[in-house]
Parts: sequence; structure tokens; C-alpha cells
Amino acid sequence: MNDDVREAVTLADEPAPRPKPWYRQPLVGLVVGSVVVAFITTSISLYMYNISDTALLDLSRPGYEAVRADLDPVDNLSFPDDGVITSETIEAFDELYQKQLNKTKSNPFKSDALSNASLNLGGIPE
Amino acid sequence: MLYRVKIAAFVLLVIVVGTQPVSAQQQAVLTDAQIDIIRQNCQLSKVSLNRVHANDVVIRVNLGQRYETIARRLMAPLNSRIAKNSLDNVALTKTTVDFNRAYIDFTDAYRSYDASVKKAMSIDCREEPVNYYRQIELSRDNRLDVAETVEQLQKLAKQYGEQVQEFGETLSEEQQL
Repeated sequence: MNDDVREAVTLADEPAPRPKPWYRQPLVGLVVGSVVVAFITTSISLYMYNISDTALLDLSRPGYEAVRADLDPVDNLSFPDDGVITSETIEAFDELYQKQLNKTKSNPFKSDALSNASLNLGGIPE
Repeated sequence: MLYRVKIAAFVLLVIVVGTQPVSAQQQAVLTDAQIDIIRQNCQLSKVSLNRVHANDVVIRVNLGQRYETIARRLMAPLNSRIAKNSLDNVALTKTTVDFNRAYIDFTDAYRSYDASVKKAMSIDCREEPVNYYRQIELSRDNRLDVAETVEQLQKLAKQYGEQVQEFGETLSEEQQL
């Protein structure tokens, strides 16, 4: 019997390799790894969302639907930072600036929104 | 030796604690009737507080947008343009720096105010009426701090406008010469 036939017979006699358990399958490792990476990146994003002022100012959260309409539209005005400076340039700037300044004349945080009367605690003197 | 060290440490502790400034504003003690008012109006009070908080967020966003527009789209490009023309803009630049600093104070003050209001919103005023009221008082103080920073921003923005007008007058005098 030549060597090739002897090898084929030897290989045929060997038991078939046992399948890997399910937790050692490459696909399971891929899925678990993806979930872990997604969890880490989401945690980092949430941390940054809370640590910055984004969480304070995010009106897309539930509970703020009624006040979203009160947001001012974003101003797209601009003043070029290049070019000569003449008195006409300053006048044009002043016109833009005064328009913006007029929008900031009131101080809404000075109101008595947190007074006892406003919070239905009127019987308690402040 | 160890006994003397302990005595010295105790004396030091008493001195440090004893010399802490006492707040002149003592919190008023709530009477039973006032505590009952808080308990009875708890739900209404919470609804009002939620509404104030939501409105304040809008105010904060709107004010923030306006101040950022003033600082980034108006002050910064004008200062840069004046500097590129080799003109004197020291006063304008200083006011801009003060304005940016005041804006940071505003964001910090609002952050503290928002945290105190959220804490008040999380307290059950039926179970803890005194805590709830104290937190409202704290929020009120913090809101005043925010109002002060807004006043400072308004003052600096107005000052910048006046300085720009002076600059314009000086420039037109020089151009006439």
C-alpha cells in the first residue's frame, strides 16, 4: 500500500473535529464586541452632553414642546473682518450693532417669576 | 508629647471653626401654618415651577444667541478689521475681552441657577415642605446672580457701542484733515 493511500486511511480513521461551543463562534464575538464598543461610545457621548451646557439648553427634550415656538430665529448677519475702515464703514457697523443691542435691553431674569405669589405660595411672606 | 500634639490640634480646630464668618441672613423659620400652605399647594407650586423653568431655558437660549452674535459676528470682526488697518483699537479690544469674560460668568451663574431649580423640582413638597421652600429660596438668590451678570453684559455691550461711535467720530475728523 503506498504512502498516499495509507495517509488517506489514517485521516479517515481520525474522529471528526468537535464543533466549537456557541460562545466561541467568531460571529458571537463580533456581535458582543460591537455592543461593547457601542456602549462605550454612547456613554462617552452622554457624559459630554451632560457635562457641557448642551443638556441645559436642549429644547428637543420632552416637556419643552410648549416653549419651542418662543425661540428666536438665528440671526445670519455678518460683518466682514477685511477691508478699509472709513466713517461709512463705522456707520454701517453701528446700524447693525444697535439693532442687536436693542434686542438685549431687557433683563428677563430680574422678574419675580420665583416669588411666592408666582409659585402659589402666596400665604408665606418672603 | 503626643498628648501635647493632640491638645494643640484641638485648639487649632476650635480657632479655625470659631472664626468662620456667620451669615448675617438667618433663614426665617417656617411656622406650621406656612408648612401646611406648602403641602396643600404642592401640586400647583410644582406646575408653576416647571413652567418657570421651561421659560427660563428659552430666555437663556435667546439671550445666549444674541450675546454670541454680538461677540462673534460684530465685535470680533470689527476689532480684527481695525487692527488690520493699523488703527488704535485698544479700548474696543479691552471691552470685548471684558464682555467675553462676563459671558462666561453668565453661563456659570445660569448653570448654578438651573441646578438649584432642578433640585427643587425633584423634592416632594408634601413629604419635605421645608426643604422644598429652602431650595426655592436658594433658586431665587441664584436667579438674582444671573440677573446681575445680564446687567453686566448689557453695560459692556452699551459701552462698546459708545466706543465705536467715538472711534467713528475720531476717524471722520482725521479724514477731514
